[in-house]
Amino acid sequence: MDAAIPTLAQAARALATGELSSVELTRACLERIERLDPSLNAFITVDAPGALAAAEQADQRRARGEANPLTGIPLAIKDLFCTKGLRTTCGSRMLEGFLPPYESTVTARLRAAGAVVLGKTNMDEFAMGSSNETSFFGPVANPWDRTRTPGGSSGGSAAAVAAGLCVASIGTDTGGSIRQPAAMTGITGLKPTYGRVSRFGMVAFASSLDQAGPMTRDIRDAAMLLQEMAGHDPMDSTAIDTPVPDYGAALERSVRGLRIGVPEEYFGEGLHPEVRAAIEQVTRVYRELGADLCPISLPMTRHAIPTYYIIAPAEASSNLARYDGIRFGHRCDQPKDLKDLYARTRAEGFGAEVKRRIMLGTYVLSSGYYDAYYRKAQRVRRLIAEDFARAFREHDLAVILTPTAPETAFRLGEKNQDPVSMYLSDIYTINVNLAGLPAASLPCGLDARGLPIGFQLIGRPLDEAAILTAGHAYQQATQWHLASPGEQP
Amino acid sequence: MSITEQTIRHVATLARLEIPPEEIPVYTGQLSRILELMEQLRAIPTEGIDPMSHAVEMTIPQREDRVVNTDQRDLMLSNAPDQAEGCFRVPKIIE
Repeated sequence: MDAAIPTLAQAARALATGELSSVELTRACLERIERLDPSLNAFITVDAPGALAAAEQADQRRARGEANPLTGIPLAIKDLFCTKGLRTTCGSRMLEGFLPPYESTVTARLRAAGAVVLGKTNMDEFAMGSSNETSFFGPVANPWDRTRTPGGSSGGSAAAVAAGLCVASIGTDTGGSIRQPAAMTGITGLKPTYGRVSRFGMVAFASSLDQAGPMTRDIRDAAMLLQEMAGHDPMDSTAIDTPVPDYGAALERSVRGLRIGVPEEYFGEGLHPEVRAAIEQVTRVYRELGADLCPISLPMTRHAIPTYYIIAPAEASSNLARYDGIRFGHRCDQPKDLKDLYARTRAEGFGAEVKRRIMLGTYVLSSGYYDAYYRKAQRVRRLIAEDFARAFREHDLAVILTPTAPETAFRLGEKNQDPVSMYLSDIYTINVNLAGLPAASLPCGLDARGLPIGFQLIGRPLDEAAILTAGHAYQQATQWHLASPGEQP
Repeated sequence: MSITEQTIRHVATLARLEIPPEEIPVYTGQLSRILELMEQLRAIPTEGIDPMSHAVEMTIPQREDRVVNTDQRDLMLSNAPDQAEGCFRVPKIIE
């Protein structure tokens, strides 16, 4: 463990006893950002004055006896959440100078609890990418090996937690963007059920898939953040209006007799042998803890990538139509007419991957192709969701256990010339978004190069608690979540 | 399904994206390759399957019909690349 920056639970305890102040903790994070981030590029914007002011307020609030566990905790926020008056770029030239006129519900809730926002983290442009290389602000380096990607799209949030630049961070996940970078940087990342957390004020990528979640050093920290993030929001009609359970209580439950499904389709061709071995070791740990492991089949698994890469670009092409150079964002110089303004503004403001997905999405929605691609993909999406529902029901499962990614962190530049090979790296995570299920990635080993390996726990709709129970039992029994990359230059 | 350069030009127009002529073949090749990946879906029988547009089955909630946003005109204009007299300004459309 990196002793320099505590976990959220440790920090909350130290703040509560007065052993540590929020100002001290915030200064420690800012000092590490200044020293270590030049070689990582995890942050797009650091807000030192804002963070220190919030930390002072948090300390005063605590002195008045009005603190809760998040009061005074320094967090890093993916640069996809609108933060009022604090630049929000979404990793794009299009929004290079955008100052949101309003605050996202997630950050508003965290700020209301007294959390300190250190700054905004780097990400693939508009969250489209699996390696952080599509960011207009340059790629993020993996703290475990600076020549490798931290994964994406929440790569900056992942690297910031792994390198101890913050106590915890917030990411978003449309096809694996919390879980895959969590796996590649040796941290814990939780994507809640679609609708568990409000999307209000998140820059939209694919509205039927996007979901915000915590990225933390361990699953206890994830539970603490989710407790504050989850819940109904009148500003998001898809935010589910059901009570938020006590996630802390879920951590303390036993996994004895808990039924865990292991789908054969996630262990086929393409899975690196070292990752396979690490996941098999996870199943042994659960068996020793008294869980009931059950082989299952999810036969629609292999259709998830084509389905996702029709639906997500279709929704993206529609959502990104708002970037027209008129109300906010980049505008080209000297447009000769309105059409020229649109076409050149968008050509200049968007990077290659975003343009590729807009083109793909526009194509599959265009007249003559809509039924063959988009409608077809929506039907297959239902089959994928039913696949999961059937497995949970027939085998009476609490969670499903899989690898998070087929391999450990790949080299910067290794896949970014070939969109298809990049898309294939999402194979174990995108099914979950299509079905709207909650899932977490937790660290479970290091490969021969010393790079982190992650495993995924998938839960039933709104049953984040089962993931927390299973995740916490694993982290109580093992040490992988304590591994740290150390301070490399 | 392979895609032609003419289709790429048409889609770029629909998407309001200027694509320089030398990049048309690049998009044509990349999109064709991506669409090849999609072809496997054709073989899946989906007759009678209801298309799924959202992960959660729910009805759209309704709220009371009253104004909650007060006047924020100047705030909303503050990010505009060009504005005049409280309006967004665009190039002339009709000569």
